[in-house]
Amino acid sequence: MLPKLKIALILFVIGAVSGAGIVGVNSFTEDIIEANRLREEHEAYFDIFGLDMPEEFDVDEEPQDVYCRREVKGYDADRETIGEIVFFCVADEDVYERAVAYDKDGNRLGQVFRVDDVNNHGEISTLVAFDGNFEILDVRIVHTTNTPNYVQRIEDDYLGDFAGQDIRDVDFYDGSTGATITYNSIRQAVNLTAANAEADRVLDAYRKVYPEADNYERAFDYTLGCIRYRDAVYDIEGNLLGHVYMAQYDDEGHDPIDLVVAVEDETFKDVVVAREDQASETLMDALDKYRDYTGEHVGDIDIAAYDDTVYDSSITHLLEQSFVRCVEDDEQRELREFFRWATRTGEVETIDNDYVESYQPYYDEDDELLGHVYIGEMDTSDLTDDYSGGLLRIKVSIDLDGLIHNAVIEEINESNFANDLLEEEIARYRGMEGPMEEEDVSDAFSSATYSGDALNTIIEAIYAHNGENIEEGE
Amino acid sequence: MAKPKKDPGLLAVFTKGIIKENPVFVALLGLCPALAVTSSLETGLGMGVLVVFVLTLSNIVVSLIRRLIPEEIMIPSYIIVIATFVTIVEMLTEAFAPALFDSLGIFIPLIVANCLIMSRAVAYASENNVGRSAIDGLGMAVGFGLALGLIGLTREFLATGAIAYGVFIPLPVEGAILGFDIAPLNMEVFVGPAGGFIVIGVWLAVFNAIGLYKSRKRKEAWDRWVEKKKREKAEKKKQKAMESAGGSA
Repeated sequence: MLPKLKIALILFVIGAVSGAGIVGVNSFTEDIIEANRLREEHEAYFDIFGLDMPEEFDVDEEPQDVYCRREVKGYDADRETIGEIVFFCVADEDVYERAVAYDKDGNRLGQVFRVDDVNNHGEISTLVAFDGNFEILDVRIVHTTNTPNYVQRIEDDYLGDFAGQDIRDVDFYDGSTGATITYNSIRQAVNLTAANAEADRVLDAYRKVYPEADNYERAFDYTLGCIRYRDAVYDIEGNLLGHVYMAQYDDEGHDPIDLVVAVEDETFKDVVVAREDQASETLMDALDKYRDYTGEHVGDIDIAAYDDTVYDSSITHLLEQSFVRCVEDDEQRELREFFRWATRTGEVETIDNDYVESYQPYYDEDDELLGHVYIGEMDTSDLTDDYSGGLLRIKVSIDLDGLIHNAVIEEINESNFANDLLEEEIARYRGMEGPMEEEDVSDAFSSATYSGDALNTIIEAIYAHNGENIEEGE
Repeated sequence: MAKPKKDPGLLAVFTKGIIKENPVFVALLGLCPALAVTSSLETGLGMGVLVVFVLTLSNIVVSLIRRLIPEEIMIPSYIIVIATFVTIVEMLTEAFAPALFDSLGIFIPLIVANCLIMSRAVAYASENNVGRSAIDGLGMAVGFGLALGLIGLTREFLATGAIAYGVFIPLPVEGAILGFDIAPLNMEVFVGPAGGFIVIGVWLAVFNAIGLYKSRKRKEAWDRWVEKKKREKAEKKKQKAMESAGGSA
């Protein structure tokens, strides 16, 4: 018994002395390590935007407002300002923070999002920077405990590919990088930045309508028409301020316009431009006129009354669509997701087909047949023994000319990553006239090949059946 | 009775780790970091410097506490000692050499698993006094660092045509020699693990060849000495026989 106690005591003493040593060194170094990290990170921000490297920084220790605003100013040796980085917190908890960079004259240079991730190889902090036109300036790893050789490979061979791309439509490297886990963290950082780059731009726009807006959540995603989505806007205490419609006009031959249309209880509140880079003087003047309608019920507004500027047709179209959307009930909303002017549906017909379950005719207010909405499904694990996927169920609307109006996924059993890819893939069918040729099926789809094959197989089967429907109709 | 073996001097203890018992090229210890962090001279030497601290200090502490530690808990106790120094070195590196910390990353905490350090603690420090243990640790770590530096130098030069990113020891070969573009000659395979294996293999072969050459030379000298002794003995015997024959005549 005594020897065992002696052994335990010795181990305890060694452990205690060891722990005390580590605690002592940690308390001595932790502030220095934190200061190093901060300085390295601040220098990275200045470097990304091509600013001179500051000799010293002036850093806000505490956030200045409810948006966690924190400023970092960089000075040269003569204490002249080189530039300024303003940090904000982001509603999305997966994003560590957002920063806006300014030069010494206060000109806005762009934004940087920092995304922290913990992957199987350790921690990784990534900066994603883009300018006012959403063009990526740099993607950079500022801190990581991932395997250095892999990080080096990613930095040398892959990060440079992001520069110059549009943050909202990034073409990732689709293949083996030799450092897949690290690259996936970079991919996630870029995707989160893309989602929040728009989000913060949108929140900035929402604040023009609701100055106290602090957060918002998606109330409905429209997949058809020029109204992209409806958001509910909240103040910092979580009180609902109202709803806004994000309206986008991007037809060929016109300047694209993104508008935020605010409507409360079917009463028009305001319309503002969503993107600063579109905010030309002509457009702002054009929008001003529509504010005369503020406070009026949407049913009483003669939206086409104005037709003075080049923007008017686009603006009136977007407002009209927003007003239609804001008075529709859930059933109408569901109908219009497949045919924009549908007012009623016919009987559901079931089909004896491996991949097509049923179809339903849709009619407009004059009782004219607009087309059919098909439901198709396939078990992706039937494609091969090597893949244990699951059910893929889709809903597709096809008009009488064979044009696909909309195609949405109803049910899927895939990884989140494959889900995202499949959402992108199915969106490509909207506006197409028929299934894709084999060579047109996206080659960026290799990570969810079986689901992609299944999708095209179902749409081919639906088309085959739709041809029979049209012939019968004729 | 066998004559007791004489302890080598401190200089011999220090130098044996550098060439004669080099941990990487002769004892084949610590090959994991020797492969992983030697894509450049800078990182190789950086790891060497960190190992100098850890190995020397852990040898000192192990030597100090060796009589207090029962044999049953010798290994876990030494691991705690080594891990403590590795953690301390990691924190100090992150605080005072952040660039080195970034370039070595996960391989700093992995020094704990470097078999060179544990082997010196068990084989030497636990049986020798503090002074000799410290010198042994220092010599072995310097030998380890130099080996890593040599591997890093070779790999970086073959892969990029430069050494230490042209920063510490700038050479005129970074990109061009006498106006000839050498970029097509760079062999990037040497930055990767395959290149690491090849370079270590080649250096092992070189050290092995030198060792074999020396041992052959030693054997030849020994054979010559034995031959000479035999001849002398035969001469003496012959002379003695002649003397005794002359005497009897």
